[in-house]
Amino acid sequence: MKIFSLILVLCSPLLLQGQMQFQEIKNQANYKFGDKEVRRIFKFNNDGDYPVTFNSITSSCGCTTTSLEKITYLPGEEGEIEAIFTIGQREGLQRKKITVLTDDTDFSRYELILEVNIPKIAEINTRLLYWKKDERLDPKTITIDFHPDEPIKITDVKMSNESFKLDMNEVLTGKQYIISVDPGTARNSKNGNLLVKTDFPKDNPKIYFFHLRVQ
Amino acid sequence: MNQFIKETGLICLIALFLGLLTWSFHPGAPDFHKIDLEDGEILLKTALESADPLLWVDARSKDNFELDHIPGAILLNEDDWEYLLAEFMEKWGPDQKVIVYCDSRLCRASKNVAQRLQDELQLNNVYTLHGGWETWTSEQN
Repeated sequence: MKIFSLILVLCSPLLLQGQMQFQEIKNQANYKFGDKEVRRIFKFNNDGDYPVTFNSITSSCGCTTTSLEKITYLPGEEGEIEAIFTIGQREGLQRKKITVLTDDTDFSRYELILEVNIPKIAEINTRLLYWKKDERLDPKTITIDFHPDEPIKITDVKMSNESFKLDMNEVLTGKQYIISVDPGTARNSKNGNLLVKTDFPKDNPKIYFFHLRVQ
Repeated sequence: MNQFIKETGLICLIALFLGLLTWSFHPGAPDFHKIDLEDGEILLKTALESADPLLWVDARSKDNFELDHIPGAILLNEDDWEYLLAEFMEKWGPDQKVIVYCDSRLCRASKNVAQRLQDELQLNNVYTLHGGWETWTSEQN
């Protein structure tokens, strides 16, 4: 009997739960092409019998900010944390951790997860065309495949070094482009930057950067 | 007396077991001397001892970069990828070891940037700094 009482005492820290109950600790947000940010709400309520104050809410990324209506919640009171994730030029699965600290002495730390899957708007075979020292100066190609749901036009192509010759083909209208880059025949080291401007999104069209280098 | 010793021993064993369980699985448990490197991670010491020239890449926010950064580091994050990528390429050389860092062991920005450098530029010599900026500053102090 004594042993069981002691086991219970030893285990008690493992059984403790915070009185702040979150409906979801992982929140998956949907993304639409062109979105500049996504917002998600983490709802909670104070399930305990004393007030709880939020001491801090921090995110693992500067791209995610949070807001809270007030900092102290009475027993039974509900509230929500709004997380705003700025897309920037991110791609792929983004997983941002939000750490919440309260003054609850029994359980003060909560970790919330905001997940956003940002599909690539374009699949590009390479951003770097590089001719090594002993490599033949044959033309190389850049292939750009735009997402099938979002036909996109290339509206402008700018090359910083005119000794590289370009040839662009629209293989599939609004979907696939192939740019062939000829470094010329002169065997001297040189660099160039290629900027490819698109018509999407309308308010701030995306520009893709490519670097060309002959060693 | 014998019973007392047995019970005490058993309680100690249970306490030890629970302690080990907490130490192993608690998310906030310190890693003490054990360093588990994730794929593509490099220790600061290993990086500094490397014979290759290093190109430090700061994947934190622009504000944090401007506040302070590893000497010689360049800013490259996904807030403004295309513009910063152009600046990165101006500094990049094929013989360099590229080491990307963000705030700490918990951030993912350095992993994302390193992955994009590998995928989009086909660079092979790209690593992320274990512990990030936090490790750098603690080593400097």
